[in-house]
Amino acid sequence: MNEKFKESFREEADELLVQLESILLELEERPADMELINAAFRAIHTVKGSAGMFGFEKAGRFTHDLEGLLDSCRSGRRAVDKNIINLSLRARDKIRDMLAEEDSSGPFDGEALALMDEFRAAANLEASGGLEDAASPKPASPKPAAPQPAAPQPVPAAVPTEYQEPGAAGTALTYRIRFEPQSDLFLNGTRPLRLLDELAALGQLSPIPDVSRIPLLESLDPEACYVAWNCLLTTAASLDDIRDVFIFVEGSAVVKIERIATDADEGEPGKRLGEILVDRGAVRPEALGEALRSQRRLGEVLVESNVVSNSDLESALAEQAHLKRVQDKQAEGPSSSIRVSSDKLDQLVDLVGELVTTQARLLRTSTDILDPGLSSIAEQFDRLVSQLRDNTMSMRMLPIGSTFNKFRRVVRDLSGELGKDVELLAVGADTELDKTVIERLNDPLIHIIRNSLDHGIESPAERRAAGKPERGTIRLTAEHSGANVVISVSDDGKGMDLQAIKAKAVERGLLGPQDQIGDAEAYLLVFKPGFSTAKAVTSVSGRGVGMDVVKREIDSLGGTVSVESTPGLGSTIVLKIPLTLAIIEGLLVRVSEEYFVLPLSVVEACVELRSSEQDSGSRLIRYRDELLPYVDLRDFFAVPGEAPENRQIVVVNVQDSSVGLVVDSVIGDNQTVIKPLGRLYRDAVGLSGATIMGDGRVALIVDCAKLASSAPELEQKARAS
Amino acid sequence: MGASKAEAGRYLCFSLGRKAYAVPVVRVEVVLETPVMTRVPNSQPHLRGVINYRGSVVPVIDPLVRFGEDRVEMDSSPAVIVLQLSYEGENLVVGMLAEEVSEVLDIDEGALEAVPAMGTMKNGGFVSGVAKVGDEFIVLLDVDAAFSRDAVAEARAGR
Amino acid sequence: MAKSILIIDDSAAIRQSISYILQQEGYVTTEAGDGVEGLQKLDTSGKFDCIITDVNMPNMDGITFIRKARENPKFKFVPILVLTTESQGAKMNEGKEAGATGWIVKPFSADKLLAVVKKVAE
Repeated sequence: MNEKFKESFREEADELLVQLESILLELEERPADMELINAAFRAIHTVKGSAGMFGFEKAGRFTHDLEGLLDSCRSGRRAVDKNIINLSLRARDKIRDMLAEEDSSGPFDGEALALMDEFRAAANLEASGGLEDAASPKPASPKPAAPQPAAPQPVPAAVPTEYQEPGAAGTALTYRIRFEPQSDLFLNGTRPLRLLDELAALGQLSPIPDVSRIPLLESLDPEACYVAWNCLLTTAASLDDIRDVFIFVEGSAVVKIERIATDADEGEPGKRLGEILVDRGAVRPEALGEALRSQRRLGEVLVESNVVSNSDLESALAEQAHLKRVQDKQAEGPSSSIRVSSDKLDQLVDLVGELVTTQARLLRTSTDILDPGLSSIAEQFDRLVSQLRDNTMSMRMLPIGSTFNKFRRVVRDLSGELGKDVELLAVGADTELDKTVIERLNDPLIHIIRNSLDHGIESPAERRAAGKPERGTIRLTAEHSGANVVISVSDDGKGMDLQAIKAKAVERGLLGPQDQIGDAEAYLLVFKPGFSTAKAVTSVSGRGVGMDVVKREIDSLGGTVSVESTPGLGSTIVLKIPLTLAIIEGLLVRVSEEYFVLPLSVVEACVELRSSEQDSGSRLIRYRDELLPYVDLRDFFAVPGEAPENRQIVVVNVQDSSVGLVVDSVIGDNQTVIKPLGRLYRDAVGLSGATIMGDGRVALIVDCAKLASSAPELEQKARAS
Repeated sequence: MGASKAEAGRYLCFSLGRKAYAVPVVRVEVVLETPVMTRVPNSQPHLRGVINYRGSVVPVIDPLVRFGEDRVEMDSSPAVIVLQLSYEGENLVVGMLAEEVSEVLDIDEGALEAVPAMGTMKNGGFVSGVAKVGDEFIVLLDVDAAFSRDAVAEARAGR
Repeated sequence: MAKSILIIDDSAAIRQSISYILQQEGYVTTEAGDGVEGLQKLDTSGKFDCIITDVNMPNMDGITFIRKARENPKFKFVPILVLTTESQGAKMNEGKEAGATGWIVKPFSADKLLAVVKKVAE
């Protein structure tokens, strides 16, 4: 901006200097006139402030010294005398000269230096001849450092309570930031969300609002700020950078910034919730121990017993999640890689699986023995094993893109063979999922794509007649959705003919002529064994297998298949597949003497089933003001034995609806190594696999989706009877 | 039903429902005396459950039920013979229920007899032959056929 | 919508240069030469997303201006930035007490100005 406004500044400064001259002359007449002194100061100040802005740095520094002198007159510490007026007038002329120079950045000339010396000398006069401070030591002898008063230091607004060495340049560190504005924050025009945005720009931020200070409505001042924030920030920026964000709210907010040690720099496994809470001072270690002894979720127990507030818990949980994310991110950061044969990886996974099982046994034994030393080893070992497990699993995660490329070739070759013009669009090729899952998805996907090409997309002539572009499109997309990957194959072909599908199903004996089924179900008929529609027309849907292969394979992967189709516009086949097959977090439950595992990812809550509710026969339970259908595992799995009086309901959420599963008791969390039940048990309804428990016995993994879908039916039956 | 498909060789003999059976030793992985079995609900009746065999979950089959006979109630917990077999073209490890596992016998050609037309079993397809050892007849099982998918259908049709 | 900013400074050079920098970035600017003129602009204009004011000005200084602006409900919560020099630590606090949101230390570069305006005004 310099050049454009330099001239305009010069003119302005000249004007100001002319003004200054006449002020100084007037001041000579009336040296005690404060108004004149202020005016002189203001003129000098304005020149000084602007000089630096427009590249007159030398003039700026020179003016700064003059300003200091005038300031002491203004504040009354120094009387205006002849010397001051003289000095100021000479300085004013000097400033004018400096501003006129072409090169305004050069060194001070002799005259300027002499003047500045004189300013200083005049300022020294201040000490001996000033109105106050007469008792101060002579300036000739340097002021000795005044002894500090013993009074406690005022606590500055922003204090890092624990400042540690910042990491090496570029290393991301994690900070816990407490931002607690005073209630009048808004009255300064401050927008707290802007501050959070700024923090977010520095790195990975997890802000957790603390709303505990919001008062009751009647005493709420709508113009006041009651919310505070607990943030976690992982950033390579320095502590100063972080504090700069809050520079304008010093004094109107409490800002605490402290670095927290992450696993990356301590080499320790992920922090447990309890540790974080103790670390933050939200809970005493004794209270934690007590809560841990009850066998339920720590957070719930602590909140229930009022040991921690909800907001403390929430932010501690967020911290845990944040640290985990950071860890994950670091894990995927740019780094060198090595090739490992997949056999070795598979072996590693198997071993980790065994280790997890053994660990479960160790944990169980240690709880039986109740030796504190053993327990702590077992717990630490447990953490290490979980981490090892997560690491190993992440090694098996591969982008699905490699498979996508194969499909391009299939589409290219096949469309040529069929005389069709088809383009394959792939989205989400970098979506990662378990290597074995990818391998096993290969055939089903090829099948679906072939089917779309063969039966979905029309010939160019047909497409032209239908007003579509001659080139058909098959879209292949993959994206993560919770613990699943959703893969969809959609084409812009002619869509599926529901009537034809039904007719054919009837013809093949897959459907009774009178059977009434919904559309979604009808589309799924094409996946039935024996439906295959391909053989008659072409050889391309190949190898004598129909779409039933797809369904079977996806089922065995624990996934689901669904179909959408619009006549004339095309069809979409959606596969929903769990990310990994190998190990999940499970909830171990017991019914009589039989053990079952529910995937923890679908578990919402565990509640008591009161006997009064059992008697009602409605097959509905009240949960959070909602009536939920429930399934009794004892009935569903025909478990022998009498039901005990008090039972538990595990509320699971699958496919966006909640269902209660009645069990005798909930044993607890369990790292579950999933083992296939094998082909012989392919049609065991309601089971998705098995696992080996700590004592070597086999427990069965419940297919919650299946149970949930059967719940409404069971409820209706119960109602009818 | 005619000539025996069975070959001479070493057989593992076991009893079930007071009858004697044998399977080729070459197909036997191990005999588990009293494994802890987990019942698998909602499955076919001839599947008795699963066991943990060296970290794998292995299905256990009740051969008699498989062959269309009634389930034998046993006093003590049964033994399980872990077998290798080929199922739909793949190798599969399954456990076979046995009341008591007796001995390994060398059965030579001379001991092999043709399968009786109306055998003790409702479907002879599971039987590769019969051996006469002393006064006793031992039914030699065709393990692959016994567990193939078509055999299930046949057994059902035969009932 | 473009953000609208009021600039109050007795130095036309400063005003114009700030205006220029902000306009380059798509802001709409209004200028005033002192606090009194600033208050007039507040009365006659619809709204400002941010106000930048110098401290030392004839007629009405920046601190008085901020106090008066905050009395107007329309501008109670508008971010106000004070133009100041390092030597004026006391002025920063005075400005904060009067209701300023933050400050810009003179001399400043275009980047610094934009960073601070973005910090409070968006």
